[in-house]
Amino acid sequence: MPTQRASYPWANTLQRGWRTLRVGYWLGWQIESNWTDPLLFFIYSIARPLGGVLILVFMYHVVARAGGTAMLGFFVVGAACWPFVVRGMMGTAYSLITDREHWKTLRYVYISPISLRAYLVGRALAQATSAVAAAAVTLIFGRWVLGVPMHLATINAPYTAAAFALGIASVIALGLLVVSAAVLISSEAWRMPEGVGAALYLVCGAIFPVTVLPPILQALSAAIPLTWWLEAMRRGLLGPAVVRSLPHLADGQVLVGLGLLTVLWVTAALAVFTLAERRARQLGILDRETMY
Amino acid sequence: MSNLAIATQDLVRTYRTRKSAGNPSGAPVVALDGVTLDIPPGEFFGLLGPNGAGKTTFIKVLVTLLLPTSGSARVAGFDVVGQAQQVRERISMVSGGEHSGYGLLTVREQLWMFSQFYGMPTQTALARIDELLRVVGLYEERNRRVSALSSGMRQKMNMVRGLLPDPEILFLDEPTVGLDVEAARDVRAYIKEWIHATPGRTILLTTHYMHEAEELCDRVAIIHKGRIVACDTPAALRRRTAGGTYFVLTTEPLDGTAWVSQVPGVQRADARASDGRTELRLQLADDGVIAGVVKALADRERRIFSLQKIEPSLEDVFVQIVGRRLEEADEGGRA
Ligand SMILES: Nc1ncnc2c1ncn2[C@@H]1O[C@H](COP(=O)(O)OP(=O)(O)O)[C@@H](O)[C@H]1O
Ligand SMILES: [Mg+2]
Repeated sequence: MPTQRASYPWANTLQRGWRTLRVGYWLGWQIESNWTDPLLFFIYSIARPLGGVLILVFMYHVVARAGGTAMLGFFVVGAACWPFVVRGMMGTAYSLITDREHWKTLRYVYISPISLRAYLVGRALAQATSAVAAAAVTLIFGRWVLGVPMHLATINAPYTAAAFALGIASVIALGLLVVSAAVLISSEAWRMPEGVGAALYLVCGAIFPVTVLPPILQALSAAIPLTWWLEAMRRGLLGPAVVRSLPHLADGQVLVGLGLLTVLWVTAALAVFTLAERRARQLGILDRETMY
Repeated sequence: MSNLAIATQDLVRTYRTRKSAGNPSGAPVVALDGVTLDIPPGEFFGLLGPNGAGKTTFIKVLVTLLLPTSGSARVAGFDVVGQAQQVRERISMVSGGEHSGYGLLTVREQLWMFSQFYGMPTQTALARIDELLRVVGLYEERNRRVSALSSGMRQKMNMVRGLLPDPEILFLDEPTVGLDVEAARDVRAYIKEWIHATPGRTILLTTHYMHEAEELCDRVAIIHKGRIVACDTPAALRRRTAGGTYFVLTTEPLDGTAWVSQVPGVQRADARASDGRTELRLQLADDGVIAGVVKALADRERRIFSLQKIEPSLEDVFVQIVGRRLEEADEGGRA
């Protein structure tokens, strides 16, 4: 055995966070891409999103009179973006819960000199990456089978890219908030993200414009960055030919609003997570096992 | 800043609990009840106590998993509450009796991942991983999935994970629990080898196996109901029993052994039945008392198979201090 203490040059905190994030991403991707069964891969990555789109097509035909192709585009972009929310937000929570209760590694991850936040962000990004296939399938199907008017002329690439990056950041912020709750709630904690996801789906304009919501819920949805993100993605991909969730705002205002809300929510999520982590250490539940 | 590896001062940790059948009042459980310990660098320190004594809680506080309720703890000179990051850079932990590991990674991948958490360059890490895997005899399994390992192999892999960052202070929480005799012996052998090969490293080992503490540790603290009731070298602890002499005697099965304690000069008698025999462990005022015990057995027409005078063990020390044998002292709590 080696008799010398290896001295690893300690980089600064930022570098350490970056490395942790990469390792978290690597692990998350190992878990996500662990398709021992190609059939399973097909079902999760292709068939499920397609099924979602088909349901939307059905809905479109029911409500077609209301909005025409402008509504169809609304559906398709919403359906393409939502997997990022599902995977990115719930995936973050599941990563922590499965580390704690299934792999039983959380305590060892936790007591290593890393930033748990960076680790979880890495895991969340791996989850978000796994949503790319579903999003692509949905957009391709929408464009070439359903005939959504999405052309080079309608796509504002820099705008869409900026909106996308901000959207992923706010999805991860939501993920950290859900994780904070999941750290503290033990029994049935793993079910909670699903409920949160369903609520957001209804409030944030994923399948219908928030303008149809009662005023109180509209105010709520305006405080959640996802509403702005979906709106920005629709404007970025489809231009003016789409039903609006935030009809009074110009494209630029939507992007700025999204940016501000993202900064706000990321800051809040980091603070809440720090508190939750400390509380968990106080309660001794960082390595608690429920009946996962 | 002290130069002790581990220093705790009046460490208290309580758990809030819900009311339950076993705990009708719902009163908080006091897992650590004022633990003050100093462990210098380079020491192999053992914490010996029955299940529920507070061993795991003590380790959890020291490795920054759990905040103390009151009191203070420093590891490598750093406060476990306020300087957790500095503590984490210098420690690692291996616990027994659990199946920790990302089942879908290979052994090597899993270990590489943890090496990254400690900032080891990949090439250095992989070389060290292979070297340690060879030492524990797991090299052939390096590309197998963690989920395919037996519990003994997993525990060896986790030993490698613990040794990988070459910690200043290694925490071992019952590392051999649940292992078969051979695997347990292997694990003990690596631990010994590691501390000999890397002088200056400190190990805090918890165990409820007397012989493990006796075999491995420079110094042993006996913990009982969250308190340290004795702390010394194994030899010095054994000397505390000075005054009595110890015998082990096997006989034909006895029904009831209360009478043995009635023999004049017998200070304590513990009986264990096995294989159609009874093993009596006797603590006597002096050697002469054994004659009375032998005579009493003859009066009851019980044959004696063997009789041996023994050195007092840590077990005897434990009995003397706590008043019960170790396995009888389990506090019915979680292990
Ligand atoms: N998370 C917990 N919640 C409530 N009580 C606990 C918890 N963990 C341990 N205890 C209690 O604290 C005491 C000490 O436990 P522990 O430190 O695990 O002992 P040991 O490791 O020596 O077996 C026991 O009575 C146990 O039941
Ligand atoms: Mg224990």
